[in-house]
Amino acid sequence: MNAPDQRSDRELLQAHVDGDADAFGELFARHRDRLWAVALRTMGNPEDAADGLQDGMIAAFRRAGSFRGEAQVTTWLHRVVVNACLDRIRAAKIRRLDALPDDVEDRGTLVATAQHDDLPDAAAETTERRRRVLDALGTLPPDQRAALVLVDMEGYPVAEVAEMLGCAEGTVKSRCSRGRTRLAGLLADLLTDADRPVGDPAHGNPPPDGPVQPTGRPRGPPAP
Amino acid sequence: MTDSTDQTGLPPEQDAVRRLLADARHDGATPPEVVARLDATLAALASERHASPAPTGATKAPVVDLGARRRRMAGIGLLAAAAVVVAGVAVGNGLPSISRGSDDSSASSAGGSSQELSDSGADGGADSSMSQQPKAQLSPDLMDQPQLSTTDDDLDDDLLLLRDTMPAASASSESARAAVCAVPGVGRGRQVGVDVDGVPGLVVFRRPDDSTQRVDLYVCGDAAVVRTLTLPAP
Repeated sequence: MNAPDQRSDRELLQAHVDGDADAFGELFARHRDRLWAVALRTMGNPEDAADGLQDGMIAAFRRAGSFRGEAQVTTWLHRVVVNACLDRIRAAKIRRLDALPDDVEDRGTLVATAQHDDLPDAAAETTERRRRVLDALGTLPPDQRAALVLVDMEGYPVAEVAEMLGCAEGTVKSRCSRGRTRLAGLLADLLTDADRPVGDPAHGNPPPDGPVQPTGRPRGPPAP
Repeated sequence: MTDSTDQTGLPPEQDAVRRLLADARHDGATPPEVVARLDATLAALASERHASPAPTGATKAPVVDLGARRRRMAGIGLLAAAAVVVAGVAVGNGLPSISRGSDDSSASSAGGSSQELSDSGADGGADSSMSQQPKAQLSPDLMDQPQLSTTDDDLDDDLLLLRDTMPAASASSESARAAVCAVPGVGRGRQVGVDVDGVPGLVVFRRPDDSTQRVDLYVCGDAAVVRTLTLPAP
């Protein structure tokens, strides 16, 4: 038998099914950080993300025998974890805007990953931008949110995300497109002028210091 | 990071949102307290599995021949029906005796009849046809559930057989199943209690469309679908 850290994901999963007591822990630890990232962004806060990730881990542990080898093990793990998170969201009707307190652990992550340690203003701006993006993401329906987390944040190919979410590729693209459109409305002031559709001045604030245009006929006393 | 083949040709606005989302990606490691919690849960799962190796070890269990099960259940049904007849005769003979309980001449026979009934109730009726019959009436699908293996290539055939042989639904069996195997948000469909990879679960036969019928497999207590298959419509 190979050393545990040299076995492939598939070998570890099969070893778990066959009764290896350590194989599943090794497998899950390999993918834990990325699964955590997906759970965190899907659930919107660390507490619910921990619950969702734990639910997913339990489900994967118990249902390892149902893995048929048609997808990658990591795809299957993501599917189980994302489903567990979505189940929790649907069951509890969690809304990220409501659940996210002012000072959550994730906020610290945002600050820690900012790349402007020597530029406090720039770091604050980056942190604020990310906070707004996450807040806006939390307002999306869970299915759209999960699709955007997996495709745009985690960078998985649409085909693989379709396997993770158990839907067609077209459905994933549709969810992403609708989600981005909604986010564009919520984050209009973060988009540059070049990003906005032509003739779409509706989003964001009006141009600063713009002259007030005359409305046509000059005002005056009513005619007698 | 993002697969370029998926994201080519996006409108500028959508592409800008995609960049904002990518920038908000979480890159950190799992917090230590979460890791500790997961490790503790994993240890509990491992000990649970050690105590009862069925959950994953049973995935290689052979699929029960549903045809044989159907014949066996039919036999049990016949036995139960015969037991009803015997019980009816016995109770019919017993009632007059009980009603004559004050009659010393029949006290022994009446006592014998009531003793027989109380015995069968006390021992749970494991070997008594009198006790098998009411259990089978209450929830036959909870007593002897067909085993399905999600890794079996013939799962669709098993489901077809199950669909053809599943007992008629009744309010009592549905409520009993709901109490024993709650699956949140399972939706509409004909539910049949089964063992899924050695774990209690449900098969839900959805309403068929023109030519196909979707079938979902669940594990009790978990809303996530374990497997979804499409069968020819009945």
